Amino acid sequence: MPAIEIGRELIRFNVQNGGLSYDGGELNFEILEAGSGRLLVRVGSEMREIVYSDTPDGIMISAAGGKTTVRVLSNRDLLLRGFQSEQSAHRSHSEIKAPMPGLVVKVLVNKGDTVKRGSTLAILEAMKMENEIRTTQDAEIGDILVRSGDVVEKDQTLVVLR
Amino acid sequence: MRKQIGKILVANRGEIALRIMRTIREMGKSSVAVYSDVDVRMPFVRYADEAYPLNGKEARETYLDIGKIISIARKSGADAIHPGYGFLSENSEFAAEVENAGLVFIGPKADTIKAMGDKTEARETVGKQGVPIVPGVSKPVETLTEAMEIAKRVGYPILIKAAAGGGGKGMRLVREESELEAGLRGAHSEALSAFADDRVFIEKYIINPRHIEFQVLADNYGNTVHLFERECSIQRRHQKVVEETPSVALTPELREKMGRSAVSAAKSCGYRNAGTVEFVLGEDGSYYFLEMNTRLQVEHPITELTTGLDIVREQINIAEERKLEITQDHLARRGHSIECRIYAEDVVNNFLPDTGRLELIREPVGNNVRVDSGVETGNEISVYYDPMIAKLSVWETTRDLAIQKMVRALDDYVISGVKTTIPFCRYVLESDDFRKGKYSTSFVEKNWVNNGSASSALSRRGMEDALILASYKLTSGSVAGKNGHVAVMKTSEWLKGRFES
Repeated sequence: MPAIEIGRELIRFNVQNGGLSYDGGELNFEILEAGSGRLLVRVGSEMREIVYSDTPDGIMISAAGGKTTVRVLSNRDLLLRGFQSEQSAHRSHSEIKAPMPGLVVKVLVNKGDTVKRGSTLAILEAMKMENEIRTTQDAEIGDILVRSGDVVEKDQTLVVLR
Repeated sequence: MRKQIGKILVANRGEIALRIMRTIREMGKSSVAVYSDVDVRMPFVRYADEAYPLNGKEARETYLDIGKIISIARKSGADAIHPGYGFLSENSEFAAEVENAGLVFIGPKADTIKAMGDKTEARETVGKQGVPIVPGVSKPVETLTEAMEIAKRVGYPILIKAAAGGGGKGMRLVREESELEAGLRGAHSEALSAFADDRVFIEKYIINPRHIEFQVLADNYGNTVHLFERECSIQRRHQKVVEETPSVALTPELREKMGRSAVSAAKSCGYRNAGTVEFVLGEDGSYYFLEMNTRLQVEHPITELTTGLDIVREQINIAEERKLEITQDHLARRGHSIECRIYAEDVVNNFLPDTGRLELIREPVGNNVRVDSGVETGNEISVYYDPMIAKLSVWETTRDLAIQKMVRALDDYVISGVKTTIPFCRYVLESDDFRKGKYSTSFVEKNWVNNGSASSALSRRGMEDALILASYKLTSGSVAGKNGHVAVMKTSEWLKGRFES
């Protein structure tokens, strides 16, 4: 069964005739038009437009009220990841990437350090601001791939978490 | 004798350039744009009657290059320069050189900018007129020892601020002595890189402060009025994100008192044109002068929506040496207005700026909804400048209705391609603290960091959309394949219209 991953939540679903089913219900829909970052979909009695863009981290959906990055995982993706059960599905953000091109001003952690969610790992200067690059989870620091003074590109890996 | 301004060069970019040019056009004058290599496809370049390249990408070699801008102004035959906000707007050298070139600078006099731009000097100047000042020091702090002494005297927490600062750059909050060294070093280096001036000073940090500012207008004949307050307490990295007027924190008496202080502050430096006097308001109703912004403010639209005035028009009229037509007694304000700043930022990741191509933008419209946007579908949010996409403002008769309208407008806003502050703004407007008016500049730390950003809980609608999209992604290319659920419909006319808008 393929799945989508939103934050730490994994939702498996099954594509079926005229829609899909997932843990929690069924969804009957018809895609009327698709292309360049949007779908026009009839969902029951509702007509919806789903606007999205593809990013290195997944698909970013610009849905009413919020913005969410979703990963689509095919059966093969799930196998590759070695998923054993729903329990182990919690993805670890194993790499901290540069959110924008910039200059590494300082790396504040060493390999082997344990860090808490929200700790600053490095300082990246861009847009005339010193931006604190933080971790979004408790982790142990693995390889550090940059040094202060390095110029990095957007999405370049800075630190690997274990 | 009045000056006649026929053609105005707008030394800025993006939404503010466009906003200024619209008023220039309404006044029957013509506009000149200057643009960097990165901005050639942006709407403001086309909107201007004439546009000249600044040749370069970095701000320093384009929108901050005084020589280039003045030479273009001369070449194009412009009579005046409007600096907008940011860039050269509070650079006294620029204002002086504009005047030396025989052009009109739409703003205050160069020496006023200089006096108010130096925060230390500004406090002394306005303090002499009886405007309350935050406890602190009025001379730049250099060494750690010196900083430690001052911090001990005024008491922690303290705020380290760049003397030449603005926009939160070169600013550090220090809660205890152990954080002082890092804070001082950070503020120094950021101040140096942002303003080429590393002087910083220290002041007492007011706990649960609210940021209240007053818009002022002053003509060349000694008439100074204030256009009431704006509350700008919802900030991240000391930069405003959500602003509203009126402020729920002010009683009519306090409003009148602060308004009088704002006018005194403006008069103390012989202020001319539009400016903003910023105050910090404590929980006990005590307020202190923070600084004066000697330019058009980002959040000016909410003042325009509640007073009915066009502040840019007033600025141009003042620059033409016309007398203010409004008087304090006749100024009235109606209803409630809120502005949300839409930045390309990752709100769940410490508000880090995001960059990328704007794949699709569809702006909210409708009754009393105003969008000040400088970009359109296909434009790029680059690393070169501030990542602002637009300012969304609404007006309603009451605060509750204004909040409802803003939530609706945020939901209607479609921006694809970059992460934006929309989810954060929505969180603010729906939060109990904001609805009750009980918030301060620590809102982000208190509410968002611990609650809002952590909950990535998706609405049912969002989850459904994600599932539909996922099934499309997994089966695309197999249209009418074995699952048969992806059917391409013949586009009817109304649907076509929907997509082409």
